[in-house]
Amino acid sequence: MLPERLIRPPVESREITPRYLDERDYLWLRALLDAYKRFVGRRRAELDQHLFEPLPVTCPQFKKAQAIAVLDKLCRDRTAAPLSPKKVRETLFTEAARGDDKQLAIDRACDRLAIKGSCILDYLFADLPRERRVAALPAELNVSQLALRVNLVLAQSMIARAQSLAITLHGNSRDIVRYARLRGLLCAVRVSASRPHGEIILEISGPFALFKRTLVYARELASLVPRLAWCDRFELRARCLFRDASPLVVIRAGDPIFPTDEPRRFDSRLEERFFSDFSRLATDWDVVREPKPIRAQGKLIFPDFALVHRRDRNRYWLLEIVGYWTADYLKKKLADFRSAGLSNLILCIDEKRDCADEQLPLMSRLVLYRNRIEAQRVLDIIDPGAC
Amino acid sequence: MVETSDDCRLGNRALRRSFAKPTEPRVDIKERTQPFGATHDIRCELSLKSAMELLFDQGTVVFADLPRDLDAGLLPGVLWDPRTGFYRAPAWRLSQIKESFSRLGIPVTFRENASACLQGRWGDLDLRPYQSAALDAWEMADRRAVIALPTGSGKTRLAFAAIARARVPTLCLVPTRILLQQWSEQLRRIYDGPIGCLGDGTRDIQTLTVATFESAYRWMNRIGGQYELLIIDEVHHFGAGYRDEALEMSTAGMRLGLSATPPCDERASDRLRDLVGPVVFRMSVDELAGRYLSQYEHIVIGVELTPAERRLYQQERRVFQRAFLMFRRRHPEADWKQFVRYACRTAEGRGALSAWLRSRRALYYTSAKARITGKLIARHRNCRLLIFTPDNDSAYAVSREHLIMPITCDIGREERASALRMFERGTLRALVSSRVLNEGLDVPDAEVAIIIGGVLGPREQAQRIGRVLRPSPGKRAMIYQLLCRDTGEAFQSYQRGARYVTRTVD
Repeated sequence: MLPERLIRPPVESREITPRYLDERDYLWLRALLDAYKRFVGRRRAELDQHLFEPLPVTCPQFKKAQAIAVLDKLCRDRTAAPLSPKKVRETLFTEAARGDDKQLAIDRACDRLAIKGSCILDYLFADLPRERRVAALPAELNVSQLALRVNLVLAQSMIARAQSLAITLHGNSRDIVRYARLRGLLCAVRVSASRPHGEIILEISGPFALFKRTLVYARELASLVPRLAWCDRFELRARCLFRDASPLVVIRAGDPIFPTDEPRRFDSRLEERFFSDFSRLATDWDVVREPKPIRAQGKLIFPDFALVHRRDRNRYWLLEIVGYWTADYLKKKLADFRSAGLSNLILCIDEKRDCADEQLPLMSRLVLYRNRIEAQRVLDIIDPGAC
Repeated sequence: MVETSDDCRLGNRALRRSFAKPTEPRVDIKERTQPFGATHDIRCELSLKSAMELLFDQGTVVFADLPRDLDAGLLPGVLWDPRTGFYRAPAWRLSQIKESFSRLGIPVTFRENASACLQGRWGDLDLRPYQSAALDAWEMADRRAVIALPTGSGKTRLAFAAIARARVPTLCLVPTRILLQQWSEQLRRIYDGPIGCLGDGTRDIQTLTVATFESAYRWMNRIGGQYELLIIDEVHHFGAGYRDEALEMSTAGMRLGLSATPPCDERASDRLRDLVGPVVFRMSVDELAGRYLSQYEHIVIGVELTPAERRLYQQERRVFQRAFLMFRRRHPEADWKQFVRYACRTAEGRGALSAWLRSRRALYYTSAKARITGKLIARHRNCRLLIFTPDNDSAYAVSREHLIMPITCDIGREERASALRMFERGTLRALVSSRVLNEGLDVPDAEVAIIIGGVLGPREQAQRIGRVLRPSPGKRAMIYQLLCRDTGEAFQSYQRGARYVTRTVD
C-alpha cells in the first residue's frame, strides 16, 4: 500500500477517479525501467542514489515515487558474497571481543574464515537491504504493464482507506460475494429490478466498521479491486478517509488496472464436466453458468446453472449441485426455492456424501450422482421428448 | 440513484447457521451512538425461558436470541446492525454487557471459551514485595488495570504470576518480534503446558499464546473470542487510536497492562482506562534504585561540531526556520502537528520539512561523537556495553568502526537471538542498536549505556536508561549521553530530559 503522501488525495471531499498513469507517462516509465536494468548486479544503495536524482525526462515526483514503490516490490535483490555475511559477523565480532586491536581481530577472523583481509569488511553487511545487489526485473514486465501495476496499487491504496464499498456489477458476482465473505466482510446484496441485465448492487463492509472509523479491513477491501476486473461491468464507489478530505472514489470497468489471475470459471471439476457434457448433448439448450441470483426468505441464492431453451426462452430451469447434505438441509433448500416462487428446480445430489441416515425428501426432480452428473438424466427431466 | 430493489442480507457462515431466518428488530430502535463507559439502568420486566446466547463474530459480539421486550440499544456499546439484522457490540464490551444482563437476572452464555483452561503446571513464581502488592492491586480492580513499574523491575514475572493466578485462556501482547521470542522462552522455562506464538512468521494458537501487536491487530477478529485474559506489555503504545482494534476486538474480560511510562496525554489515558483499566499501581526508578534496581550515574557530554558540520547544519536550519517562523507568525497557537499538516500542502513547506530532517541527520553521528564514542568504548573495555544510535546508518558506522555487533531491524531473528545469547555469555561484550533494544530486552549484565544523540521523548529516554538498570551485586551503571552543543538536539534534550541529568561533563 502506498502512504498518503504518494497518493496525493484531493483536499476537497468530491467525487474523483484515481489519477491513473496512461500513455503520456510511458516515456518516463521507460527511463525508469532502463535505470533498473542498468543497475542490475550493482549495490542497491547506488540505485537508490541514482533514483533520487531527476530522470532524464520530466515526470511528476509523486508518480515516480509510486512507480519506484511498485518496482521495488517486483525486484528481489540478492546477496553477493562468497560466504555467509552472518558467519562473517559472528566470527569477526567475537574475535574483536577478545582484544582491543582492530587489525588483529580482522586478521584472526580472516584466518578462521580462510579469506583475504581486504574483503572481510565488504562481506560484513553484504546481506543488508542497501548493500544487496539489484536483481533483474521479471522479463515480461514492459512499460504498459508497469503502468497497470502502478494504477492497481494506487486504486488499492485509496480503497484501503474506505469504510464500506458500494459496487454495482454484472458477471462474476458470485466470486466477488464469496471472496468478500471468505475475507470476513459483510455483503448486503440488492438485486436491481429496474436494471435489465441482472446487475446486482453489493454493499461491502467489515463488521467492526459499525462502531468506528477503522483501517482494520484495509487489506481485505483493497484485495477486492483486482478481482473486479473480471466482471463484465462494474462501478465501485467508496468514501475514502484521508487526512484533509474524504473524497468519493469511483472505479469503473475499463479503468486501466492490473487484474488478478482469472478466477476459476467453475467451482469444481464436477461442474466443469457437467457443463461440457450437457453442452455437447443438448444442442437446443444453453447452459448459463452464473444466472441471476434469487431472493428467498431473506437470503440470496446463487444457483449453479440455468438451462435455457434456445428457441423458447420461457423454458428455463435452474440446476443446483449439492455435495454434503442432510435431509433437513435439503428440505430447507427446497423451501427456500418454493418461497421464491420457483418450481423449475433440479437438485443434483451426491448419493455418497449424506451426513445422516435420514431419507431424502420426496421430489421428482432429483438427480442422484456418483462422481459424475449424467447429462442425459437432466435432459430427460427438462425435455422428455428430446431423444 | 436508488431503484426498486430487493433487500437481502448475507452474514458470515457462522451467523447464517445460527440465524437461518434473520429476524426483524424487536424494538424500533435504530442506530445510535453512546459515549464510552456510559452505563444505563435498563428496567423492564422479563420472563425468560432459557439463557440468552451471545456469539463472537469477527471482533464483535452479536445477540442470538434477544428477549422481545428488551431494548438492546440501551446496553453499553450495542448498536443495531442493519447489514445483518442483528444487534451488535464491539467485543471488548462483553463483560459490561454480561454485567448488565446479570443485574437484570438474565443468564447469558458465550460459548467460545467456555470449556478451556490452562492445563500446564507452573514453576516457582516468587514475587518481590512490590510485585505482590501490584498483583493484589490488579485483583482488587477486578483484574482490569494497568501497572506502572520501571524497566528492569520484573514486569514480565508479574505478568506470569497474574496468568498463573487466573488460570484462564490468555493472550499476551508484546510490541516487537524480539520480545515475542523473549516472552515465549521465559514462559517455557516456567510453564510446562503448550505455548502458542503468533507473529514473526509463526502462527500457532494455543490457550496460552504470545503475539506481537501487529499480528494481534490482524488476527484478533478471528481469535478475539477465545481468550479471557489479555496481558499487554508496553501498554502505552495503545490509547492514541493507532491499532487500538487489537484490544477492542477481544472479548477478554480480564486485562493487565504493563508499562514503565503510562501515557500522560489525557485522551490516551482515558481511552486506555476504558480498554484496559485504570493505573492502580505505580513505582518510580528512584523508589527502587539501590535495592531492586541498580544505582546509576547519568553523564551528559556536550560535543562541538566541526566548522563544515556547523555550516551544513545552519544552512538546513535556516531553510526550515524561515518557513516555520512565518507559520508561527500567522498561527501563534498552532502546534508542531498542525505545522506539519500545513507544510505538506505546499512545495515550499515540504522543502522546509526535508531541510528540518536533514538538519537532524547532520547531528546523528558527527566526527566528535565518533571520537568520544571510541574513547568511551576503550575506557569501559571490561564492561558490557549497549550503544544506542539515532538511526540504522549510524549503528552500522559504529559497528564497522569498532567491530561491534549491530542489532537492527535488518538482522534476522535467529542471528539476533544468537547475538543476545553471546552477549549474555560474554562472547560479545557490546551491542549497538538504533531502536530495537529500546524496549523490553532483558540484558542482565549490561553496565554501561552510550546514547549517541538525544532528540528523544522522555519515554524513549527512560526505556533506554532502563536497559542497564537490572540489578546485580555491587553494580553501578553508567549512562553517557552525547549531545551537540548549541543545536536543537541539545536544547530539546535538556528541556525534555532535565530530570535525568545528574552531571554534565565538558
